[in-house]
Amino acid sequence: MKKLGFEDESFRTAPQSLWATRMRTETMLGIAPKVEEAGFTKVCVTSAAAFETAVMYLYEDPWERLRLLRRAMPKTPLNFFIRSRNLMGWKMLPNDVIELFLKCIQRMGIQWVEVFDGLNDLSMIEWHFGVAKKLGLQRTGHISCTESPVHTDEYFAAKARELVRLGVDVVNLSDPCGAMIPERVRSLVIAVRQALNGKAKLGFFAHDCTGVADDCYIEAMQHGVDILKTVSLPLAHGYSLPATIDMLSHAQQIGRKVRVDEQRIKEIDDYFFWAAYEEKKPIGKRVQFDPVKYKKYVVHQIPGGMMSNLENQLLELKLLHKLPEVLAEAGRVRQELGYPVMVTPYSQLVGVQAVFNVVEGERYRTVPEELKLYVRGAYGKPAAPIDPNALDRILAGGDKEPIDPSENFSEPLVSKVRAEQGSSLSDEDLLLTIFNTRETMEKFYQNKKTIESHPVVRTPLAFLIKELATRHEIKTVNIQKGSFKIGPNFLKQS
Amino acid sequence: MERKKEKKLRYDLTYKDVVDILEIIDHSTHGELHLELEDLKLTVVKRRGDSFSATAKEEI
Repeated sequence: MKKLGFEDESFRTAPQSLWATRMRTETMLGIAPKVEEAGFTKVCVTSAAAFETAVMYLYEDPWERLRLLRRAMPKTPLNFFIRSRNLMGWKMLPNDVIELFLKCIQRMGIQWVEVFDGLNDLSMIEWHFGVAKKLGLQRTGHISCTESPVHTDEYFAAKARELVRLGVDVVNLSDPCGAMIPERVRSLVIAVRQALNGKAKLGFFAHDCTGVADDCYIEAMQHGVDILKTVSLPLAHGYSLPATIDMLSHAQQIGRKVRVDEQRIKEIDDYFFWAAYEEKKPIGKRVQFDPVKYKKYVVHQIPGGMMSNLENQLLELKLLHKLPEVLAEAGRVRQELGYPVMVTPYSQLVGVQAVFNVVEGERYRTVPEELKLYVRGAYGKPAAPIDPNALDRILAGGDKEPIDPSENFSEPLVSKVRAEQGSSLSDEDLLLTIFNTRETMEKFYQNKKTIESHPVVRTPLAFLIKELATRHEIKTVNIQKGSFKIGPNFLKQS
Repeated sequence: MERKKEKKLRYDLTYKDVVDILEIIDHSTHGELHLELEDLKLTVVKRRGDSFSATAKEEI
């Protein structure tokens, strides 16, 4: 019976998918000891997006978050999810920044890094793996999967072989847009396993945007993946991943050997029902698979967040009736741009251009600067070449010179910023200075919150009493639990 | 024997239960809520308000 590991994503992709990345560190710390006891193979604790949100919106020090999570989960291997060269924001960062960043996260106790490039251009992330190996960090190479005529099983198998050559320990197949159906997952997993030939473990995860992720996971389990990424039940489904508790049950039925503690998982799930309520955040809802909708969706693959932006833009322009036209156009633009995987920033590039093309009644009349940079190669190489006619229109009257992003990789930036900021700044704060604008950092330091390292987590009964006490519409409450009693007048004192 | 019986009847309230109870209290138009879950007994009476129904009771 082949072992199946589970990697928890309740602290990373779940809040990113359902809570706009606004999960507070104290919420994480409240359940971290139970997560530690649950038997996860590893726990993905944070990402570039979470770092950014911690600084800009939660006013929490993201390094402090790492330190405290490490302390709360001393035995579990922790994973950091890294987005290509623009670790945070949009800037492509040079080699020395990436090296310092990896050193800092290792100092915080991170043992695993998972690195991806949205275009699957592995030349953009080769450096990361080299440095991580030198530092002794475990490495996961992440392949962003999607459906298109060029994203064949052979394409993904070749990427997996390339990642093995780069020395990764695990290759993760991810479907960030929920574009794949179970049959495709079956052939993909078989092809990639064959390509790996036992030289690296195989992981899998898929967002449940179209409602088939559970079935995709079952296929992946049946065809021998080694690790699945899952989340706590209240944080599952919709734009998030399937729930650990459900996948655990499927794994047991299939006969895979798992060492995750079901009782702990139930306790973690229960905690997140409270956390969602306390933080006024939604819980995940299952999406019903609709073959007709899926057929349309798979052409454009505009993700949910982007879809609501498009609808709002069109509504403001009183052109909401043009949404079907915009989505069809997004499919065409995506094809002409070489079928980028519809994740940040490519979903924005495609979606915004589709709106311009439809609203102006002329394709590529207005083109944002970012798209011009993309087609010149600044973001890396897409899976298919840019359509030559579209390229001509996008770059009409402007600079047509191709850009090689690797030209600036060796430019020193750390020493330059260090000279400007002075030697008293820690490496961690120096990196925050590089990632963020001066205004953002000033606002962050002004509003920075102290994180309670051992947050008080009320028992369910205490939580109930506290909540009832805050409701002005309640006149009297009687609670009896065993020998514990609260009489009708307790609200008067509260 | 009596102790064993008592243990069996003990109900461990979960956070999910509490969230569900609060949802019922917040969204119900009933004036009173009576809940019994093994050894837990809860009675909540709302003040008279717009959606208050003086006689209606919700029993769980």
